[in-house]
Amino acid sequence: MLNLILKRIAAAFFVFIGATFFTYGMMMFAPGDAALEIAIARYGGHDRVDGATIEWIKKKEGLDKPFLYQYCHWLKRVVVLDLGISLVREEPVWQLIYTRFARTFELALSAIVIALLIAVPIGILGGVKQGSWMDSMGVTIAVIGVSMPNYWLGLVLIILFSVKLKLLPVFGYGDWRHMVMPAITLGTALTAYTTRILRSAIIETLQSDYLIALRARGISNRLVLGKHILKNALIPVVTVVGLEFGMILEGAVITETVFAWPGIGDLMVTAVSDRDYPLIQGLVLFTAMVFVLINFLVDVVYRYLDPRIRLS
Amino acid sequence: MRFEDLDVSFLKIQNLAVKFHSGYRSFFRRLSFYAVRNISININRKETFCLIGESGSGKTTLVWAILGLHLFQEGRIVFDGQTIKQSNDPVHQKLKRSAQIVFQDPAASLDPFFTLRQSIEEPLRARGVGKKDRAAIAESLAAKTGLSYELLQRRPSEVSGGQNQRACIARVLSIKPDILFLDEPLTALDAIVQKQVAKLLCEMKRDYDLTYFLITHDLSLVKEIGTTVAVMYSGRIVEKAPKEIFFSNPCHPYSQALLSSVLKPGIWKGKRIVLKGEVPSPLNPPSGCLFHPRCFRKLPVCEKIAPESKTVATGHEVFCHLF
Amino acid sequence: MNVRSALKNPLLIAAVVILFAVIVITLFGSMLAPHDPVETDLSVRFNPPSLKYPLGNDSLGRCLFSRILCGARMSIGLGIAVVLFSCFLGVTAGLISGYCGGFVDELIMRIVDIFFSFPEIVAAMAVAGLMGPGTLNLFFALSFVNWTRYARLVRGITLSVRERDYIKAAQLSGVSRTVTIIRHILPANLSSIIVLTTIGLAKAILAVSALGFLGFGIQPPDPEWGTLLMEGKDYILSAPHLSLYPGIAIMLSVLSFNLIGDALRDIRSRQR
Repeated sequence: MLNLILKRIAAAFFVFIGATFFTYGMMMFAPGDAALEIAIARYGGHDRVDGATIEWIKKKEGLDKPFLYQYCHWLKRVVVLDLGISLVREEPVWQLIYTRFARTFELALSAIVIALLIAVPIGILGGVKQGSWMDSMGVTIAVIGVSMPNYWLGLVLIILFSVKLKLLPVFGYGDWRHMVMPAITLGTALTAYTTRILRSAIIETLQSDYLIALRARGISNRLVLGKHILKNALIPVVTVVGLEFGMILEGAVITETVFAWPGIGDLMVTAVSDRDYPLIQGLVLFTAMVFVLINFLVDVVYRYLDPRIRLS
Repeated sequence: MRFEDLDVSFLKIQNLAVKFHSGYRSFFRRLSFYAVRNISININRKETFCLIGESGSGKTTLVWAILGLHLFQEGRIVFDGQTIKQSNDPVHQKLKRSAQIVFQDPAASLDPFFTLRQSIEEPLRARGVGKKDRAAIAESLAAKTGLSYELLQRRPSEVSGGQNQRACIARVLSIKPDILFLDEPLTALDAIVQKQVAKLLCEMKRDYDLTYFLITHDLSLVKEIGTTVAVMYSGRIVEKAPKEIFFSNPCHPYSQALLSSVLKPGIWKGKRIVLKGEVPSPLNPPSGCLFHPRCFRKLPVCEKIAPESKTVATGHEVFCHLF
Repeated sequence: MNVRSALKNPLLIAAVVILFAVIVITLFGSMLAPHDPVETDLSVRFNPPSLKYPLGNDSLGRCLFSRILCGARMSIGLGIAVVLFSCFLGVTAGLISGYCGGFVDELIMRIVDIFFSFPEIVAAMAVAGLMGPGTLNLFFALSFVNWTRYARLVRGITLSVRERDYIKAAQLSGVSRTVTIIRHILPANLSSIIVLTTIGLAKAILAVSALGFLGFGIQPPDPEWGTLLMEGKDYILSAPHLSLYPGIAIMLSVLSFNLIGDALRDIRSRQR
């Protein structure tokens, strides 16, 4: 087990190096003069920038040094969470990400709770009563849920609840009423996805030989379901919820744009529109690292839950 | 018969050993163990060399090492007078070109997406034989191995196990090998089909002047078609003998136990020997003779010293302190 | 479920019909459009659906129906291009990784880990932000994240197929590595690749339109479904039809790919 964790950490470190390399390299190969872009972003407008300023920025930011030197220099700062200063907002990038991430996390968590609350009962019911009308309805709704663009769902919700029924505020961050529509928007695809996974996991478990053996020994259906099927079927659900973190994050970018939710996705959109290089780099690196961390945790939990893997 | 056919063995294996890695002892040190060790055998042209032993005793590993599918770490192979000192050197390539293997499960050794014809033609295709010639050879081989012309268009899942095994035999014969390795070729087949395929193997050996290296559990098959027998236990050879001597005078206690376990009459006349315990794990082998924890004629010395080879009669070698 | 009984499922029939329509629209959308998709007519701004303009008009009086028909080329076409390219890249990497094993496998899989760690929309946005928006940048950004799925799938299957006896038999009968991979290992992967490609198409279309919606995808005035939604979003109070219909177009085409992908997966799992 210890060896395995060490191996995983080594792999995660490799991903960290690779991810930082790409995030940094991408800026180097960006078209245009980086120093000029920085100057324009900082002093607002082409005409306020002269050659001397550009030279000064080049020196100060180390842009005249070779790529590998710059990269190592940058990496050294990244390790101590110094991601630089946002060009437009003139605040430390790490602080911006940190405060915004809390709000995204809040949103993501409520989406996951919604997803589990709906997906677990429907998935179990569908899997156990495979082929019933409830199951086929669940399957149909789930496939529609997976296929629906979530920003469109957000717009439809706004039309319905804010424009027609006037029940909920259109956008913004505040009390629970602001949370309802973004959480549903973000949670729908996740719900649909989890339902599908859980249903097929239950069906697969039901077909296994040991369950037939249990039934043959006359153990009641309810006990079989509670003790054996769920335990086995929940393992893939844990994995999926963990692994689909990327999906949640992508969903968050879009949902936050639709509802003007001041989270990390909203920050990303504005950073890209402003061409705020340090902020874009910081955000990309941050999401990648959170993804790696969550993958790592899921892997450990998964191994703990599944004795077949734990033992081998 | 020429002089060298008598004197020089066709395939000679000397002190061969294969090591496997089994995970890590610590982060940097790998655990390794001997899957087979100290294997020395001589195989003469046109004989049927039989390797017997329980599953897990390393029979398949040995064959795969000879064929270059596993690397061997110690020892050497002499093929047709030329020495192979390490896996996949040029001489080894030569051996691989003149050797073929028939696997235990015929359905798994044919690509499920290929028709039997495609499978039979594949080795020829790899050697650049033209389309027309390939078809002709495949059809004549199919006829020889008892596959009807219609069956050639089917896929492995659409024909029986026996027919698949016939296709496998046709396939390996298509490139006229000198030596054929048969890895439990009958185990996956029905009893009646076993008889038919065994008969086919005998016919093909005669028609193509083949040398057979047969791995099997089936002692009655060994008695029927074998010429030389070697018994393997936990990665080592424990006894080697010509077939007649082996069946009339088995020396090693393990050979005796194996023979006594056969239920067919005429193979073992004495009392049935039932061994206690299990085959030792190669990861943690016992000291001295590997068989001593299960041996019913154990001597004190067996626990300490691994037995050397002893020749009890011409061509009959035993690794046991009793002799 | 075999192919015949699968075709009795009404949902699947609907999916096949929609898919056919989507393909026709993607190929011939601009010919089918009743109006020029970029022709403006301020007198009909924000008009709701009418006989002349079946889905109404947008903020510049352009025909929404024609814009949706013409937008398919970008939304679907770019999705298909991304999937084909990532499939090619990923399958090649997966085959090499799974077949060679050892150090090569380790190296390729670590590279896969790196690319896999970027959520695709975040990566595409970063590329748009740093390199500038554009169809080609979008194509590469989406492909470089997507290929990892194929690489992982194909590697897994290849690892298990590689140990099968018929691969050993092919090696021993002198078949070269390349031929073994192409003739034996690739066919064993094919059904899984087809399923993943179908579902991947659904995901790619969603991603392309999502980026269009965020304003980092296809640039206006070229019509693209996500861009249409973005343009409609600003007028959601006065002209909700602008936000409704492009979304339905996206959903129907994604739905048809997902349904067909599910059906293919069912057929394959019954065959095993």
